[in-house]
Amino acid sequence: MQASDLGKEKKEANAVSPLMDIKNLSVFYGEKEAVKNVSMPIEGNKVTAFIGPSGCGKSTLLRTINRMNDQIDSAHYKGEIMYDGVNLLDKKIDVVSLRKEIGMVFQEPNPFPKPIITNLTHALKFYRTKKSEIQGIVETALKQAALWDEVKNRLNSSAQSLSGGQQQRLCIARALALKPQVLLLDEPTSALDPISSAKVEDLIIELKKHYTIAIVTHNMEQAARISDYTTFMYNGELIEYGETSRLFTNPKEQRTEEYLTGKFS
Amino acid sequence: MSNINHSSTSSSTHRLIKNKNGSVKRNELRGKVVVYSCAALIIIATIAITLFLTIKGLQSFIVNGVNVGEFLTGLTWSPSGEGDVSYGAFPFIFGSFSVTFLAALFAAPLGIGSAIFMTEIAKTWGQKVLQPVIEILVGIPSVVYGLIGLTVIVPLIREHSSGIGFSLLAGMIVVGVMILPTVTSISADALKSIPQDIKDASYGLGATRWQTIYKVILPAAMPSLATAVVLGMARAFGEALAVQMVIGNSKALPESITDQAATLTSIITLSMGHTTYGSLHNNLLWSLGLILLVMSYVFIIIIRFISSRRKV
Repeated sequence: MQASDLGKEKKEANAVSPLMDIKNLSVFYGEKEAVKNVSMPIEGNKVTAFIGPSGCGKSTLLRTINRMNDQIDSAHYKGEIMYDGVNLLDKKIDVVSLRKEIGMVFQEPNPFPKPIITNLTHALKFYRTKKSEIQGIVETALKQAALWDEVKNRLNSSAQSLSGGQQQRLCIARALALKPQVLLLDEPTSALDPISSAKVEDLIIELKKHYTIAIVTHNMEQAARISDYTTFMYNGELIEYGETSRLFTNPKEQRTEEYLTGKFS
Repeated sequence: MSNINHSSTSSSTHRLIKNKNGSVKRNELRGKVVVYSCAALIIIATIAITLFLTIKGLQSFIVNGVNVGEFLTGLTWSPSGEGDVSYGAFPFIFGSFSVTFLAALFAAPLGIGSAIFMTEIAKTWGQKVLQPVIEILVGIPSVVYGLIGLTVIVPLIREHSSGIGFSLLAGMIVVGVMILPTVTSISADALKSIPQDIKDASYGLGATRWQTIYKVILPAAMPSLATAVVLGMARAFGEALAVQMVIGNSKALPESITDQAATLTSIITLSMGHTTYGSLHNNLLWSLGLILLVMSYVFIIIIRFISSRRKV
């Protein structure tokens, strides 16, 4: 299980090379090529945003990183995602350890229909975490997700009694409890109201101190507010990648400019 | 679409007020009558059957003076003999319950297991092969199951036990196989209805497939799975023909699982034909039928109770 201790040496290497390097990645669903020959880095301890119109392949790309697309029988890949010296698309990768290290939060808040605390301990139990440690991990994760104060007195009530925004932060806490290196967020605020969205955005900015974050969003303002790097995808192709401040103010590609100014969507 | 003629419509008061004699109104009424009478017919039929069975079933207690306690707990059944009659139905009640629970014990793990296989493990294969197989199993008449039990299972038990083969065990296996498709297909529907969201959440946290099935999917589907098993049990409880062919129909209480036994249904089907209408024996069979009806109501109440808890 290479993936489980991948992360340690990584921290030192950050300064020179990106945490993750996507090289000539193509993703197919059967015959359909959903992601076409994409190459880009994902920098450590930064927020990388993926923007583009619906169906442009940005979610597919994100779900390829932690191999969630393996669930779909017809999905297959070409190219590499290099992460700490290993190719994540390699058949030898243990996807279970990989997903522990590269956590994911989905579009719809999807807490388990169980008590709040069980949502956090659920996965910890799979990894035989010691009982004495669990309490501390739960508290830290909930604090990191800025949810602790709101739920500390009702950890045993159902996760479904929380509001949508709280549920989404619970899902983030649930991923954080596994101490991942990377967080993949697939449109995490699209199902939330503006106030809850703002809380999640603040949280993302806070979290990048400790984690590398890749976020798919269809909200361009959100990408501009919270990301360090932005990738614009269209029709499965990577059109432009660059620092967010530069890409939004001075896009090099005409299609990026047209998208940013709302000429097409 | 700019040339819609607004002037042809009359004033809004006329246009929007309910029209009492329009053809639309008549059509509505016709539809309403059809649908309402269908619903009424079913309700009337249910009430009529319940009333009829209750009246007939209580006659042995009221007209013939049979003691209810003795009827439910007595161990000997000889209601048609001259002089000394006894009417203990306990062996049949016991037989019905044993067959039902043993069959559920047999069918629940197999059914839920194959449902998991169909929905989570081999989705395409499961749906292409297993689903039709189960549909075929549902369609096989119960007499065929009885025949197969008679020619395959009964001799098999005879060779491997001290009994004669006709036994509770044979009944359990035959009925278990019969209710297996019911349990499987309802369980599969229950598992399919678990949102992909929750499965994604579990896989996304690095859970293995088995961990996801065991810790997320099964608990979330538990009320529906319980409903599947109870529905299967209701079917097992009411099954008559196949059971009667393999269970031996002994009127004594079985001492072991390989002993002969009888169930409420098998006794009714065996004896109803040669009793005189209105006689004590005939009335007692109606009372057995009443027990069956009461039990089927109990099963329905259990299912209702389980599914109402699911909504919480």
